[in-house]
Amino acid sequence: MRIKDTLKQLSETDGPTGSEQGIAQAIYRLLEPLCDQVSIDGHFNVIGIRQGEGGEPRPRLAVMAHMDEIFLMISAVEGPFLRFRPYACDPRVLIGQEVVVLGRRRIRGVIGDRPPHLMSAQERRQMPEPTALVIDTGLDADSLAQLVRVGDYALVARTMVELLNERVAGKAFDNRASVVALLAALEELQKARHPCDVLAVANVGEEFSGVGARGIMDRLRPDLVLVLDVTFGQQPGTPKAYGFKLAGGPVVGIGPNIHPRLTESLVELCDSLEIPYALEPMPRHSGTDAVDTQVASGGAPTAVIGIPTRNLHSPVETLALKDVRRVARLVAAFAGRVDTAFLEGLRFKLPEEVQPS
Amino acid sequence: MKELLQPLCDAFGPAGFEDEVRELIREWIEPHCDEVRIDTMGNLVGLRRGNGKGRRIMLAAHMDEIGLIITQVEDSGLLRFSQIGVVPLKTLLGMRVRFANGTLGVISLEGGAEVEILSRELPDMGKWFVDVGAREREGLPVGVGDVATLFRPFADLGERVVAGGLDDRAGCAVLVETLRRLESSPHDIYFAFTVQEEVGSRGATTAAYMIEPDIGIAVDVTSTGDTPRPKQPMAVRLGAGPAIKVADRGLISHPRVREALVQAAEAEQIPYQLEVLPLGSTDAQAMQRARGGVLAGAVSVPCRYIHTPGEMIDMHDLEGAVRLLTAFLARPWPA
Amino acid sequence: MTLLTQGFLKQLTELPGAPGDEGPVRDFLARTIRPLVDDLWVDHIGNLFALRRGTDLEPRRVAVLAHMDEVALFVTEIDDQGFLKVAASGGVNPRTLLGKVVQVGPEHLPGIILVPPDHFNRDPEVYRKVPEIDALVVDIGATDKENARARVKVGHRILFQTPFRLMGVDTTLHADAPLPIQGRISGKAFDDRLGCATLVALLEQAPYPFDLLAVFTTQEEVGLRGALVAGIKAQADAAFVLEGTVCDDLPGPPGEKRFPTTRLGNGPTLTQRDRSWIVHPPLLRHLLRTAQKHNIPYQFKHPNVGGTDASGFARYQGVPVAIVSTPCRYIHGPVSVADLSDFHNGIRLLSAAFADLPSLLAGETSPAALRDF
Repeated sequence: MRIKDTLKQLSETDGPTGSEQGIAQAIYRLLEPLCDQVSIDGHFNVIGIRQGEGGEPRPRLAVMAHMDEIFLMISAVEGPFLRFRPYACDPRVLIGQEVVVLGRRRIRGVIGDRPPHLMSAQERRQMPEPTALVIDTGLDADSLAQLVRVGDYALVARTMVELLNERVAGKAFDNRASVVALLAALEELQKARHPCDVLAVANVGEEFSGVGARGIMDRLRPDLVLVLDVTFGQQPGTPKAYGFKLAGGPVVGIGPNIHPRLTESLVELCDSLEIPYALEPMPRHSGTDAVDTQVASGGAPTAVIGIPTRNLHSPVETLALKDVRRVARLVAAFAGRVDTAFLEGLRFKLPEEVQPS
Repeated sequence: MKELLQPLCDAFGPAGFEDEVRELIREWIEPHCDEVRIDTMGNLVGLRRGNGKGRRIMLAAHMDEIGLIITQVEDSGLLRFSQIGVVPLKTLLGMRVRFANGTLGVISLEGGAEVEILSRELPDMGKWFVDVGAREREGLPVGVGDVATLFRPFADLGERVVAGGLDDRAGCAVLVETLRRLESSPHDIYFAFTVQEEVGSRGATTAAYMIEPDIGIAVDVTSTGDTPRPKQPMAVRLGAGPAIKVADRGLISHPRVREALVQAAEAEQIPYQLEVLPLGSTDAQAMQRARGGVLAGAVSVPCRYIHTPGEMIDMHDLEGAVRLLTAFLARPWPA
Repeated sequence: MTLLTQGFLKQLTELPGAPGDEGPVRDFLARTIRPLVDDLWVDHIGNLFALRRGTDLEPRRVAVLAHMDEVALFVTEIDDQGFLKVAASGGVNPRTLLGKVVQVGPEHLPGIILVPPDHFNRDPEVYRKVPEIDALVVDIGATDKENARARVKVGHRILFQTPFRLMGVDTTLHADAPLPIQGRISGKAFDDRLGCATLVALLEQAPYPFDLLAVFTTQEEVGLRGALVAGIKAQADAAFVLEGTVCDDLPGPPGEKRFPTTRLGNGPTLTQRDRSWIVHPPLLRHLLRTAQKHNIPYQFKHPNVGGTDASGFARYQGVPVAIVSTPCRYIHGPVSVADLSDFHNGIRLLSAAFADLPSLLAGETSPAALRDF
């Protein structure tokens, strides 16, 4: 699998939160050759299962990457213009942005601005509220009313851009980059042995409700969860502790949301694979689906692996392809290590003298 | 439907204290249900069985409303209070309140209402109190922990009505009327009248866990964008038909639920609107997240001035909501 | 076959033409118009002149101007991490910059204008502040300073990278097909490549009864500097300036009344006066009469908005000048929108006006002509 091509394909596929059918189909097709069994559930979560080689009952490792993306939603059709609300989109990047409206047809549009020639000094200093912005499709009011309804989605129009040094920028790398890492990890597992069952999940709903991850936990009841998501790439404005170098390797979460033994184990693996890595301090929670996987329906020990990404929640999320490859290698190696003894090792130990009877 | 709506609005029911509303509804729905239960949280659930060929559908309307709760009694007999749910302070000054036992009182402010009314700033919660007309602490008819609602009588304006608590007694009325009118349906339908929505959909969360529905639909009020210069523009208008929710702050309706509702409305030629609500949420978000996830959506009754003592709805919208739900429930779930 | 194909406008608008660095646009235009003109030359500031002789025996000379440059950013510094610091070259709209894709330097390297992470600063005031341009950072994917300096130098220009599109549903571009008569287009640098395209169309329809001197000027966006030079050298009897001008007909915040200076689709825009120049009344009247006679829609732009090459060209010799513009939404940002009927009507209006121009020019010096207006 060409990581770059797959990332481009998935990045450019539509999949806003709540309407993930399209991206789910695309991922389903990519998962099929890599799994023993693939399904799409009623919420459009895509679930692939690779059976392990260990004896029954085998541990079940879920590797989850959400596939939904941030979006705009049409809130009113106002003559030849569309009003919208941004959902998780950074509103500062919207002005001057090309978009696609997912109405009865796919319609291109532009979010424009007043010409600076006519702005007051005050206007020039301040970003307008998103409610003051409109999408301009170039269609007249009647055609627009035929094609677009309140509640339709709009996405930024952005094809992937290749920068120097195998770095790329594009939309929805949060979290399609992790989906690609998951696919690449499964590809590595084709050549390797893994004792546990690997449940490869591209889930819905992360950017809004967490409904995907919770449903998965309830239905699949995995013993162990790896959540793959993007995290902050180092750039001007990121605090030192929370901005991770591009091409600096996987970012392993540490904190109460993460099982301590899993953090250790991932770090050991990075060392033995000679992959550089960084630790991400998560003093409260991880801000990922791991928030749910740790507790939902009884929950499971969870770890988070991040891909350093600049400009998160913008149309130009930027990352180094090398990091995607390294996350894939790490995940594959981890799956190779999960067996019954490993699960046993995750139990918190009591002092010798107070063992339960 | 005013004969349902007025007693519902007059009933007392801040979140956690929904008994009066529940008793009222229970009497109405018992004759139309195969089974009626009240769970530990106080949710009232009536089940209408289908023919075994349909789905499990949960409809939820919440019985509770926002209110006040007494936190402290002063020696003077004045009562300090806190909010239950989101009670906008702007609506309080000079308002009358009613407690569960019928005690009435008036809300005022430190610093003298006459002075404060001229001030531009809104004092914080700690500066407000209720005066029930007592001379002193001794012999007060109410005390710490007693709850009250704003006293806001039902006003019939003809096609439209004004009342407090239309959020969500309007939804309750829709559910009761739908149950009465529904002739046959393939589905097992759980009519859930939930508690404690205003403090975070706590009733709907447990009810949905127990019912484990395939499909969950909340019936609640939604804001409108048809009053002058709304800060949060919205395409919903009063009187233009019930709203089929697309999204709010807590829910993106499942596209299949939304489409099924739209199809039902279009098949029966019921005027409807699509709703993207910039603020707030409903029991649907709690249902959506229950267990392994529920296909969730909502039907909303457009309502102006939500969470004020003068909420307004249009009776045509209410009627439309009943027709829409009845049509939806009578149809098989699209394959 | 017309030169005004979809592919022509696509190429013309997508080429980089920063102020003072208009080479790619000039070369493209020169190649395009060479077969249409009798002579062509370039001056020291980069203006491209093209002469098409007229049919009259003693022809007057009429200059028609359009500027080749567009607003841009300019590399001022390469920092230790390999990021580029920038300054504005022209009045770029700073509200539109964050998160946009740009092309850097002669290699057209793709770059990203970084979006300062907001997750760490939730103060809404800071959040809503428009970034100062000197605080912006462009990321070309370099790993460090040396890595960046191998490809980019201080002084390299940075331009938006926006594809030209026909708007609407299911529209695809056919390079060889003529531009549609109606519909809307989106892309970058419509200010003033639409003027350049209008001028090419007018050359294509030549000859006229006068000598037409086409002037594709430079550095308009940084102070009309090309036009200042051209005005002296051209020795014209009259001049027309072709622009892509401001259009602000989009709704503002809900409920707020606005009074747009121009509206898209209402026809080419005529200027009476802007911030820098007053249009020559007889020329303006000639344009109005022409529009009425041929039933061509037109609109007036609000007075005292913006400025054009007119003031640069006419500043020293007081040449009579008129301005005809195509209204464009969202100019000075990454993507503008224009209406094709406005564009075509602008060409119709000018070519019709040119046919009758000599009689006006003959009488133009007489005071009667001025009084008559």
